Amino acid sequence: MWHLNQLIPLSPRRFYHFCGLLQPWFFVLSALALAYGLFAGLFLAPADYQQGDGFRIIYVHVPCAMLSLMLYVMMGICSAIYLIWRIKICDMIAFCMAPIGAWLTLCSLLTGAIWGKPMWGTWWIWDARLTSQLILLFLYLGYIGLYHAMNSPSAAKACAILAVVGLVDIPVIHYSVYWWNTLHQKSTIFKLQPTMETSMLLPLLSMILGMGFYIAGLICVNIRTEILAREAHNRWVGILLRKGNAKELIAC
Amino acid sequence: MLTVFAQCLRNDLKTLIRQPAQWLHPIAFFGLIVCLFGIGLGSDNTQLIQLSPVIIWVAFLLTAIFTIETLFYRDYEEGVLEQWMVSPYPLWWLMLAKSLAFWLASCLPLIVMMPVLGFSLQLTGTQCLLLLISLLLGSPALTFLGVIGATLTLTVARSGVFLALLLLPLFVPILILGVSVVISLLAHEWPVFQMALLGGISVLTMTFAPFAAAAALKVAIH
Repeated sequence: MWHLNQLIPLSPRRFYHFCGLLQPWFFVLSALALAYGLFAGLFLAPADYQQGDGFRIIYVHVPCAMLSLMLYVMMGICSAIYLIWRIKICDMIAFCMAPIGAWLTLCSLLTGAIWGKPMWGTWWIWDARLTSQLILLFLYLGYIGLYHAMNSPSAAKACAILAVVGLVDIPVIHYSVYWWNTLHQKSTIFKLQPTMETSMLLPLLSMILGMGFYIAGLICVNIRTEILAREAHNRWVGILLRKGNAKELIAC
Repeated sequence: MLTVFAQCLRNDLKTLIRQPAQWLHPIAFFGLIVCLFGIGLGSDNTQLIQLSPVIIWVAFLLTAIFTIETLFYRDYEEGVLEQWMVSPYPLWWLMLAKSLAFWLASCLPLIVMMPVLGFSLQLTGTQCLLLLISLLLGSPALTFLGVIGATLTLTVARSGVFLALLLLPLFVPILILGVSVVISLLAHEWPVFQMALLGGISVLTMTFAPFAAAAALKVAIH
């Protein structure tokens, strides 16, 4: 018999240390993957026969777009777990993911616009993917706004409900928006036989991995601060902070 | 259970109808937006026909957002919602009755008067009828999603714009489908698929939204 508690430490205190343990690994892995991805993407990969060197922006654009959607799904799942099992840490995870996800969405929109100007001749068009990404940004902003507008104890649950409603709504938005004929080029990675050249594809996959690890590390940093802020009245936080201060004093 | 539902519905309808602001304001607001578009776009009729379903749907969405904001204020201040919390009947059941009453009092009059505005925007009889049906099919979804938003922002001061931000992403699929009903009719296709999807979304929200709204209400009251 195993229990979820043994697999992942779910109490704020143990989760704090657990994240502290994972955090450097995430950053090291992301640095490696990003270094390879950026170098290979910018210098090794051949230029596209239609788009020239302009296509290289996908090495930033695609990871941002993919991770932004993935983060919202994870946020929704965390919120559902929080609502069902009342695990406090899940609410904090969702809360820390929201601003990062919103930034990613914004980045994907901006890089998309920069790409769109030379390729399609326009900064913005009400195309399916662009629109659904914009709506995703609104979903994130609504969540963040609601969290800050309500006072904290009831905010967590209200926002969790909102995130779950958004999660249910995402497929509906996606498919309804996809109805218009889309100008955006079709996804080139997830097919049985990728239509991309391997030398272009590998850096992209590496960039996605690297960004993913970077985001994971960032979430770890955020969540540790959040745990300290919310558990500030607990004794272990006081002890921890005093220890930290002592270390700093010694270092001085 | 059923008698409770019926009584709740009747009670809500009575209070809503006795406050003329509750059902007159939406009608005036809706009419004004459509009129302004009509005046602004002027005498170019061909342009107007292309745009009129969009104008009517957007006006309808805005009206829905701005009327639903005040739905729970009175009950919240007078303590009716607390009574609901302690009542032996399930909260979602009462929420369902409340939402239905709101739809009957605030949305149905708009839908009934829509053809008048539709004719003023140069739509023909069939197009008007189809737009009417699409509104009938889509508006329950708007109402139920709106009720979730209204319960979530119940304790937030000056929630108007905020509620719009919350509801806008949720309303987008309904807007797209509703508009495409008339667009595809203009292209001489029969929009059965869009209608079916609209109805499906409405049924889906009607099934799940009362639970979400009840949960949000519990959070707001505690």
